[in-house]
Amino acid sequence: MDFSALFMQFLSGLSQGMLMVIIASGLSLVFGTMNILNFAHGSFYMLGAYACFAVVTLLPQVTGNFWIGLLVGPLAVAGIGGLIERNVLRRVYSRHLLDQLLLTYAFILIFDDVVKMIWGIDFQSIRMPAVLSGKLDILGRSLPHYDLFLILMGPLILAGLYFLLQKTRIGRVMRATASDAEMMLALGGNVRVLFNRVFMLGVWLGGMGGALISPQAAISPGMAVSIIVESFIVVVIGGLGSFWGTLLGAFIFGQFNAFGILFLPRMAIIFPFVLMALVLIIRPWGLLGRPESS
Amino acid sequence: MKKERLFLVMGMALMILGFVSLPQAAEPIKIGYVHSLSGGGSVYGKPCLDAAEIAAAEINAKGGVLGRKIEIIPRDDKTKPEDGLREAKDLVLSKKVDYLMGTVSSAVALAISGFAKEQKKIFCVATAQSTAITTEKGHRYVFRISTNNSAYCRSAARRAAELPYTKYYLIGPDYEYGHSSNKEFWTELKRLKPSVVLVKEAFSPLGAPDFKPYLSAILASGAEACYTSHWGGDWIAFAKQGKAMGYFDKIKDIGQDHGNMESALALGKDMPEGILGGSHYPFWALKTPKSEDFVKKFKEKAGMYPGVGAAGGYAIVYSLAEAIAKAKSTDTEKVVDALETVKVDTPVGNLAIRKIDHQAMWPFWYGFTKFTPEYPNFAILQDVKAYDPALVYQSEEEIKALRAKQ
Amino acid sequence: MKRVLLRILGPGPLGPVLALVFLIFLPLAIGESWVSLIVEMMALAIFATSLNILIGYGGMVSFGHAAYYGIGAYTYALLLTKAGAPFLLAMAAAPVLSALGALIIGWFCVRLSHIYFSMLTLAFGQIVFAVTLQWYGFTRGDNGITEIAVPLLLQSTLRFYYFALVLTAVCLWGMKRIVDSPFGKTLQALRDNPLRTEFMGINVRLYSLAAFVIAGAFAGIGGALFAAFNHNVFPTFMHWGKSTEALVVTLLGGMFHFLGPAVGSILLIFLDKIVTSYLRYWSFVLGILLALMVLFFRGGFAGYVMGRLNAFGAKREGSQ
Repeated sequence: MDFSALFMQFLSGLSQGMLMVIIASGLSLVFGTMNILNFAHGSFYMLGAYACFAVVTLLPQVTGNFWIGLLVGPLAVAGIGGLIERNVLRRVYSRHLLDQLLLTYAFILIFDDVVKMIWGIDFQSIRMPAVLSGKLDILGRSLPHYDLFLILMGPLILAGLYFLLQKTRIGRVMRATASDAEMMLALGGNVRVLFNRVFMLGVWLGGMGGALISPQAAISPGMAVSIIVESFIVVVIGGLGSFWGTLLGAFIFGQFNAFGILFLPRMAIIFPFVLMALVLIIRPWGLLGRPESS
Repeated sequence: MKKERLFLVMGMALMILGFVSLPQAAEPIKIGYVHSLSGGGSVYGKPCLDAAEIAAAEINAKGGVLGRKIEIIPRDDKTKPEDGLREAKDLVLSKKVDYLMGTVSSAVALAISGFAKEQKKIFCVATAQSTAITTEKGHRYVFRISTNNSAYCRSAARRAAELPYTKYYLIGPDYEYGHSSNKEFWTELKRLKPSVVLVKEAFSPLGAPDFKPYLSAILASGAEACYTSHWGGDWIAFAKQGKAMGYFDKIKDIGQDHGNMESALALGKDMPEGILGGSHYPFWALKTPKSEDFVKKFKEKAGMYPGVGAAGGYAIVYSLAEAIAKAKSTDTEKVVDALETVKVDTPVGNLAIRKIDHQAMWPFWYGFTKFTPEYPNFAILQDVKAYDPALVYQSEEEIKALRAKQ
Repeated sequence: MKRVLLRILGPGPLGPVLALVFLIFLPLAIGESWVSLIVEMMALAIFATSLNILIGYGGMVSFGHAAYYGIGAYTYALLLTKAGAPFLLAMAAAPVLSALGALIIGWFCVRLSHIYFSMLTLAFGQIVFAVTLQWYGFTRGDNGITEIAVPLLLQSTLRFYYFALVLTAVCLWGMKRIVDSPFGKTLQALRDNPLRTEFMGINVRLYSLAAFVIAGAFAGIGGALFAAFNHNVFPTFMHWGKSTEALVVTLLGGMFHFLGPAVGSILLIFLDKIVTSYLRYWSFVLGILLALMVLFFRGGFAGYVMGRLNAFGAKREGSQ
């Protein structure tokens, strides 16, 4: 196993990890600010992929239709998320954890069938956007341009989030609400609207993840389920609600997968869960989480 | 308050609806069809049902069998054995179907097969491919009118033995299907061409969308060819990511799902050319009058070309019809005997059903993917070749040995 | 009418005894297909009621409870097929091994609370599932173990139904005694106020672990019963989908009543059967139903019924 092979493995793990950063940060953000673990996050990921697919199929002759899909799709999904938060999810904030989980699980079931009603059960697929179809030659091996794009998108979106949280007023309000929602309310903050916007942002991130992976994978109703457990693993490892934790967790997850395949292929399925269990046993709040978030 | 009342009323209405049973005509021959409408196998379940309904309609148009019409009653197994068994029980005990057919998932097929054995009801397997269904777990009442795992793995091995490659990588989905497919392929290839070398074997979780680490591992391994038992969504993701990485230019990829319509249609223009793929029903090459007629009718009904599920569904209904006609009765024991001796005219040709394992001698073709002007939206397999079924299905001795180990 | 219902559904043995009598004579009136369905409901009822010991009575939301259901089912199946053990021994061994599994896994889980507890139970549940799926040599992987023979005595659906009825009645009675006992009361106190309970000198972790193990044992019986009835086991018995099925059923029926999960089991399987005969979109229907229950009928079906009856009862008393 020479260096170039190991480096390629590292890069493929990195591209997977950076995609997971986008998806998992949506989950983490919602939990950190609103204390809701959105079980249906995977469904929004799936909807993002389907929304992008819808745009591409509605505008078959338009060049750059994937980019339009990437722009419009997650926004549409975020809109749906906002409606759900306002009309349905809001009612269970003060309630038991089980209520929130079961309600969001109900949405998984509903969206599964909604997607089938609209697009049927067949596998769907989007072509790679022309401008990113090439590959880069590194050390005698090929890295697809699209993977490079994903490796860059992850940190880019994360940087945008960071800027939002640290440098803008709304970000400060979000962080304040995350640490003490009651106080925010007492200080006259419009917590309701804030929660709605945060949820929409979280959903947007999930949908964006789905749209980003759509040229590389099959779009099918089963997408939601496979990603939600992986997202859980990432946020648990990194720390629920921790910004940097999500980045670290996603990175570790991607690398673990990439190198696990090389060295211990038989254990590949169990590894992520064992890692999750280990973190929860040894350090439940994750590598970079705060102990009081329990 | 109002909402609660409404809810209660709706609930009661639903329950009353449940007790109202539809009038049952005593006349038709009922075939209970259990397939996947949800879950991982749903993409194969629906075409199989469509094809079965086409066959039933054709037969009924000519007066049915023994003067009775064929009725197909479909149910969803949700790709879970517990649910599939529950539906099969309901079909047999409550709807009183005469025969059972179906399933995509081998687990569901095995669950229903056990029940069919107890109830002495004929169960014809359409798409589920595990050899265990007809070998170790085979019995008098289960039939498979489709290919099975050993058929396409050994066909692949035979075709691969004709190619110049010696260093192989094996990859597949991490469950029984993936493991046994890889094993069957490798055992047969090694037997036919002892000079081949296994570089490495890997498995990926079923349904996971990211194959890049696997692809780069294969590229780095020094293998010349790779056998992929991935299917459906996994194969689509593998193909797209592989193509982007230039994988197919460096490694000769071989796989049984590459020529199946369900995935080929979804991949469309993204299918890599020149890879060795398999197909249960290469209608583009067969072009017999029967096949062309079926393709036309299927396209009209389902809106797509027939794939893995379709040909099987069509063949089963016709097989049952012929067997009933030959036995001059719908009695299970007589129909079983008849099924063992009929030769059914199907879109893939004349099929006989072998007595020892009730497996139809359905051929399996391999060819190289290519885009052609006749089919602009998807790749077909060129230079398709199938081997004598006697060479690719397990022999009687093998089956007896497997059953003895039970 | 409501008066009579109140007497029956209130505390006391009248209700359960009547239900038992009803169930004994029911098979005379319905077809074999329905009898078969009721056996499934019974297995699910045992499983879900055991989960409710954790959720409703203990306040611990477990996402991996199906692991013990599955361990019980596979213990039964493997003992019967590989070791040639007698039927009753295999059935008896199921709760023992699932209790053992619950002990090992629970020891780690009870040290956490809330979301972390739930996540860890999920992780362990998936590990158990993955191991079962991959260990082909032992468990035959996803092809499962099929055609598991039951003794001649239980081969007919009707006879098995009565066996299941007895087993279910015994299990439910057993679980009821446990939750009504001092142990059960302490468990509920723990759920309501863990800090206070700890101050009173109760070893919170020990009690939680005990509840976890008890719940696991009964789940194992449910799994073994289902395996015995279906004559097969598959790794899907342990998947988190099965765990959520128990959660859904508990919510549907009502987690604040002992028989809530049992009621939910009846409702879910019944609805599933009805809806899938007519509609293709069962997930959609279930999702809507679930959402409605969480939002408006928090106490589930049982909670709703009891609430209305109790209101009636109070009104009557007031008017007198």
